Amino acid sequence: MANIFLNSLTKCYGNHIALDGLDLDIADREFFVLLGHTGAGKTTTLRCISGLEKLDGGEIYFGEYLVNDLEPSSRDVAFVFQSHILYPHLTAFENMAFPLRPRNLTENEIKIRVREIAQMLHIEDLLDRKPNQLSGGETQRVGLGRAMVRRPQLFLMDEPISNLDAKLRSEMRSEIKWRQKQLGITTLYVTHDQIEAMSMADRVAILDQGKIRQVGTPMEIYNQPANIFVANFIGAPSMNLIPCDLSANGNTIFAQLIGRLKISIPQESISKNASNREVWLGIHPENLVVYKNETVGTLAVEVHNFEELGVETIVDLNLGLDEQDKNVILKARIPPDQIVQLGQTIWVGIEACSIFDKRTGDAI
Amino acid sequence: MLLEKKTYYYTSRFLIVFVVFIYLIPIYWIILTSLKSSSDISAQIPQFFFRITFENYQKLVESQYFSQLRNSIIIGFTSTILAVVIGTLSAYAFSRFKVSGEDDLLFFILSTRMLPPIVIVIPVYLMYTVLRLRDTHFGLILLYTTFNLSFAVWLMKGFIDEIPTEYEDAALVDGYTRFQAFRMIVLPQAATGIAATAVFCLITAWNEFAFALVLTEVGGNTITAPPSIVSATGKTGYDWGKVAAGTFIFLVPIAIFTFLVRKHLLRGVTFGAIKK
Repeated sequence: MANIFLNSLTKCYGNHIALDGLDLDIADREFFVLLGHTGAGKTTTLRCISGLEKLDGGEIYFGEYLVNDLEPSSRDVAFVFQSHILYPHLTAFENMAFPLRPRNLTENEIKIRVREIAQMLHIEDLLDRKPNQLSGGETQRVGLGRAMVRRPQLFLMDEPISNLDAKLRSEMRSEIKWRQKQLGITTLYVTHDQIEAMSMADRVAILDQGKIRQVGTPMEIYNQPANIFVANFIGAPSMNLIPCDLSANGNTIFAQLIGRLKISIPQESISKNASNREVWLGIHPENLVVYKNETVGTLAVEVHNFEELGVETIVDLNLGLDEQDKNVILKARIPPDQIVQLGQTIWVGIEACSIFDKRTGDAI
Repeated sequence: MLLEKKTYYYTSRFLIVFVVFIYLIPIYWIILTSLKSSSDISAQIPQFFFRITFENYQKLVESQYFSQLRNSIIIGFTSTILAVVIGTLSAYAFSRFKVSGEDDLLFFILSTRMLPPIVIVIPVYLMYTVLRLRDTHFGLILLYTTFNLSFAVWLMKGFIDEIPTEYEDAALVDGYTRFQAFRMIVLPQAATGIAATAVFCLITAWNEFAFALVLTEVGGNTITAPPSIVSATGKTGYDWGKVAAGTFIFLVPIAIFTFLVRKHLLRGVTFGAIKK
């Protein structure tokens, strides 16, 4: 068991900088998720930690030990890959026993360890099968068992469930999270799927172009995105981002949107120095409230489109044309019993929002 | 639908039998000839019904043919094993590690196959004379291994490239050394490729004629079967019965070897047709 400390990790492939001074501190027993688009450097981070890639700079500590120069085999980590998880020429049992073989265990001990984990994952019946006789979910389970059977210091998981269908994915999400807590093994989990990150992680790091954009609990990341990138990335639909000027009028702060449109902003959303600046206004769809009639501080908008999803309705609200003659659309999430019609004029107000500096993109 | 399936079944079976029949005619004729007496062989009208005689095989036993066949077996199999082992290891290196000048090296390896043997046979003859490698097992093994190596490297590289690196990465992380990962993960999965490469290499070495003719001596210790069959001329022209018997026996080892590795071979030769 160990906490993991990464100090300004750098890795280049030719001219391409894959990791650009990455700092991370992962606590013992933590379920830590690296979230980012394809090519953000997530897998490279895992490969560096496992020792499969040599670093171009920086340090990796497991607990107090610097592991930079250790071979992958001596780092005591288990790696779960996205695809090609099981050896096709070995049975499920042999696949699970494989990591135990270099460890001077007797055949009997190996059997006991494998059976124990197989029971836990409900795959005892599958042990004699070859990988091509296993379904996607079963393969993933055996793969997970393969990693768990060794009780390593650290689990590294590289999108282990991305290849599964939606229903199986949601089952495996809770399965993995539960097993991780049960075993208490520090886990670094890579995904591009924010639902996986939000639902499984103790903490999430958002990665972009080899840099960390924000680290925090899922709720922190959702409610207080540190910058425009994170705001854009998180949430489905993600935050509405609109350029605007802030102006104060007595106790109320207004955001001046495109044209002459003005909308009032809840005061607790902004710090004092934010007024009279050019900013991006970020509003989660559920923080937009829709009224049938005009109320103070609201804005008249036209219903541009709506999607009734059963549990909620997503409405596209048209604010009008901006300088480039494009419609400015806000997405709002409203209760399903609130009926809207296309082309209808309704009034919208802001319950909570975030403000980002227009120049740097960082939260104010 | 059912009828369609049945038609397909019978048509395909018929075609297979037909093609196999065409392919086997020469071999059938060789076997017939080897069992005929010399007067039946040279008969104006080809004889399908004749008195079977083993006199041709008798003649072979009396001649040095079987020691020449033994030379073929020693040289063919040794050079095949060497080419496949070295080829597989270097293909693995090319496939998995950063080799500086990789493309140039690979092209160089391929280019060793570009000259036809007959072009280099004289310089090789001179070199072998100086090095005293002429008429030795080692000399021919060395030559055939070199010849087959370029083929083995290229073929094996294709097969090893197809094996996902995740398998070895997982083994490395699980506590295995690079060589253990190669032996336990890569080799079993490359088995089809190894079988296919081995068959091709063996056939090349087995059938090789030009070097064997020039670098060995009739009546010497190391002459292989192909040049010796040619030298089976009698005083009154070719002894066709003896040639046929020799040829038939010459085919047997390759047939046995191919039969032994057939399971791997089928996947090996259709390789590339199957998408991941």
